[in-house]
Amino acid sequence: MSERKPLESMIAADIGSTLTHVCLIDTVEGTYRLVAQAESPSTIGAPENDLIIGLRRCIRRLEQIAQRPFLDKEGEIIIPEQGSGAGIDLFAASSNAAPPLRCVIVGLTNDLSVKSAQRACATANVSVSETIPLGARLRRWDDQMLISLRQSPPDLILLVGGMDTGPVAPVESAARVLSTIYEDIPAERRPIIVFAGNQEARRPVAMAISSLFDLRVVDNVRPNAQSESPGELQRELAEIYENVKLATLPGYRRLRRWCKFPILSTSEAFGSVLCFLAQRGGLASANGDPCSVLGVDVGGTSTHVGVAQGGPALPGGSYRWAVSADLGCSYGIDRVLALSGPQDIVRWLPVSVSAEDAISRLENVRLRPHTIPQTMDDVFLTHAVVRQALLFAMQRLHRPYGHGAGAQLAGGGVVHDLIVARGGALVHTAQDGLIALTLLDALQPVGVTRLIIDWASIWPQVGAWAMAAPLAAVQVLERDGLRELGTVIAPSGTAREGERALHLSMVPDSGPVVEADIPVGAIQCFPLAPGQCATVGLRPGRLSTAAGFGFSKEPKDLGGQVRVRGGSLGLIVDARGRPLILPQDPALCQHKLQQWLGTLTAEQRGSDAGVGGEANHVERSS
Amino acid sequence: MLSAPLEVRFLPITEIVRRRILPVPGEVLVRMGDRVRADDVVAQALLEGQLSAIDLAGALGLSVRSIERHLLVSEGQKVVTGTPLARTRRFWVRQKQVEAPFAGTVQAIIEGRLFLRQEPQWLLLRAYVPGEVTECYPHRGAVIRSVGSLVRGIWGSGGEQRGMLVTPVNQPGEVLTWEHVGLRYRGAILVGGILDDARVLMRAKSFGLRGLVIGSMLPSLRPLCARLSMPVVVTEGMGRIPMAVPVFDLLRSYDGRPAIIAGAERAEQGPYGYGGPEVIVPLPTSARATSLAVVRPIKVGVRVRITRFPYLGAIGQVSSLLSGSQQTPIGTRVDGAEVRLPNGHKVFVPYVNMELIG
Repeated sequence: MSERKPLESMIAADIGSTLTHVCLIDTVEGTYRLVAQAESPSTIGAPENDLIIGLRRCIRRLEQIAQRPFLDKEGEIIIPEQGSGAGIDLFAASSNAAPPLRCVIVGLTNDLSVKSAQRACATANVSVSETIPLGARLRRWDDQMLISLRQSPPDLILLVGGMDTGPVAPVESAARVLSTIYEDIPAERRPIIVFAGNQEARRPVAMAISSLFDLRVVDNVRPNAQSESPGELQRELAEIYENVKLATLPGYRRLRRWCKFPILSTSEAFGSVLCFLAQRGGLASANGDPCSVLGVDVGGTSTHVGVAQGGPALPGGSYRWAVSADLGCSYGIDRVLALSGPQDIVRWLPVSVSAEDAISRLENVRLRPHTIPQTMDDVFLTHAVVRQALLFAMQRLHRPYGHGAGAQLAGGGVVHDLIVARGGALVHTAQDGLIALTLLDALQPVGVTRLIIDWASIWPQVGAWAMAAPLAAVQVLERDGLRELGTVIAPSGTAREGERALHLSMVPDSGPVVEADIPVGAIQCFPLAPGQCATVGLRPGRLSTAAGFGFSKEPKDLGGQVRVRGGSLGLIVDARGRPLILPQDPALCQHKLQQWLGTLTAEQRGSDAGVGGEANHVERSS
Repeated sequence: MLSAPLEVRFLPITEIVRRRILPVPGEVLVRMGDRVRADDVVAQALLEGQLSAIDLAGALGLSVRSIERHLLVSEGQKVVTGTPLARTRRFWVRQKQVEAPFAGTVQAIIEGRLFLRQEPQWLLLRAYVPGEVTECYPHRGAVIRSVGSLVRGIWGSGGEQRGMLVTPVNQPGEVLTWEHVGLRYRGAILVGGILDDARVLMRAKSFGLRGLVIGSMLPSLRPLCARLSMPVVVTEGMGRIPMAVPVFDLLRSYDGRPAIIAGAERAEQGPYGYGGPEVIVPLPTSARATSLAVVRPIKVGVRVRITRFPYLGAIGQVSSLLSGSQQTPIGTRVDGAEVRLPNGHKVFVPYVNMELIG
């Protein structure tokens, strides 16, 4: 019997709507390491209309870096690795390049089941284009609605409503109306119907529509007034996205042939990395306590935020997430602008740019999503969009469940041990200080939090190959996949600017002790190299509000000691208070942003060593 | 050395191949090798008619349950415009009646609403470009090959139209004002530099212009363009960017010639459809046309359009292809080329920030 050859090398790809990333993993001295990575514009849309074209360009780039071939003359991937070094043993892929599923929710009333359905949709690559509450008599099934449903049928209609012991007739009527609307539309243009309503209505609904539609029946998303059961619906939505939207991407079939394992959606793959990081609590908290990991992925089309909780003391863990399928930094700019308005964008700029100019430039980025910034003004604009996208995404994450994972404080911030961030706009920024400021502004962490970024854009790929090679996933993620920006200490509450926010004494494991008073409204950095640790003593300053300016809800916050790890920015103290309130005066606001950014970027200039880890082969293929 | 292929957005003379596909199966009226004009019908299909939900219960002031007693029609019945659908009969109340707003079939009556379906309508699919039928898809459509000048827009709205090209402005950066738009241009496609006034769009629509081709426009005009059914094609981007000189010069040289304009993205293009808007000036098929590839490798000496601030809209010439990633002023490292701008300055431009032009 022949023994199966162990996996030695693999390429994993993540195909986004704007960029395609590939990374090469190989064994180096017995452990799996990230050897090289490359990126290239995705080629899903016109004029090339084939994702394989962009993927091949990316792999060719990888061949140049690694100095060995991975594609044969026909452009097919070589599997397994040959004796000559050509090829690889495994190819894995993830993608979120397909546009989100267009969904219409049909329910009884605007609260209860419709709200639960909206919450379930917020966890998938779904864009809810319309909600039809059947209770609102004047609005339901009006002519405008019928024209819209028939002329551009959604990908799916989510039919919900009725508690499990409630009336059946309204849902059955809705099913009959759907049948009437679509009976003369060709089958291939009819939407998928997902029924997640009253269990007793399953049979009549199926009788009314199953002959016309692809009907999927899942658990009632709102079985009673007190609880909701979104799990099965969430899984169904994820499956429909993968089978209906991803599978229809041009070139997907060939990509599927290259992969031994299913192609995951980027969101799913990213989620599994967050869960892994939370489970490896030691990565976040030195004492191995349960830890809370907030992950953000700001893409071109969509923004994913998720909170994973786990650690040795919390086996099994938990994961909550929200996918904002319409918010992003290129194709998704439109929605960010629509939700924000120009002033909300320009308020984040440390330079003077008129609202009209800012909007024009962003519109041009949306029209040419593959272009990259060439000036710092453009970088600032992109980061302004990232902040707004994250603010809305975080609202969506916390709205569903009232108090999201992580302890919510009175000041508005949320306590997380670790914030991990990825996305082209962030990782293509050369200034770690700007990345940190964007994350602090948008996520407003409270307490003690480490900041880590996916500098090599490989986390979704790690998630994609984890099922085939879990050891490789762990080794690469821990050794090469994380870049530490530093640890943030951020008190909550509000106080008058200039008052003492807290007193800090930092005792590094090696090096001199640092003592400092941090004034309210300031950001300060203290050098602490990546990999170094320190013990930090914190004493809150005078309180100016009833809520306090401390680390907890306790009225008397006496401070304490924490162990922190360093990073490219060292230890960051963000004493601007929570919630963060920017000055109303635009000139003052701009000045403040310059000040904060200056502090953060100065620190990176002072300690630029060690950035990027050992496998620092950052290459952009264009 | 690896250099990126670039997208071509402007070709003075090229082969143009357009696929014309019915949204639903129908009848193809042409055969391979046929010569067609732009307005010839190449395929036709019966499209489902409009569906209307008539709120009988609301209109008659009756409860949903009682509506059945007042119905004058039944499901499946064909009606003509004005046919009474339901009527109150109670003698002490003034009689009320609901009539069919159009001819059609009563599809269903659900919860006090009558669903009336219009009779199917013929959809006529035209050739769009003059040329030769090179391929036929049974029941679905055909492929037409043509030769002409092609300007691919970066943004567009509205449908497909044909008309004479007219350029009322003298410079590629000149603003197209409402005074430029007069009744004398009825049926024409107007070319302008910058659009910053909603009145231009309103007048163009009311005077029956067939379309507008502009270098750039203010983003605030986008919603208005989307509401008008007139095609608008933007060649450079949003804001106040002059039309690229080669594009402007070419379009102006075609003053008075028939052209084809398509504003909105079309279904057969990619999921994001940003390649959709275009202007085509058909030329005799005997003209020597270049390849129809819209993505080509970059070479030293080619003209490029820069597509990102601070050089957005500038046309330059590639002076050298730089090997290896280059450090940019913002600290990143990317692949790119050195481009000579019209003022003689040489600047580094990432490959992803340029398009081939001409």
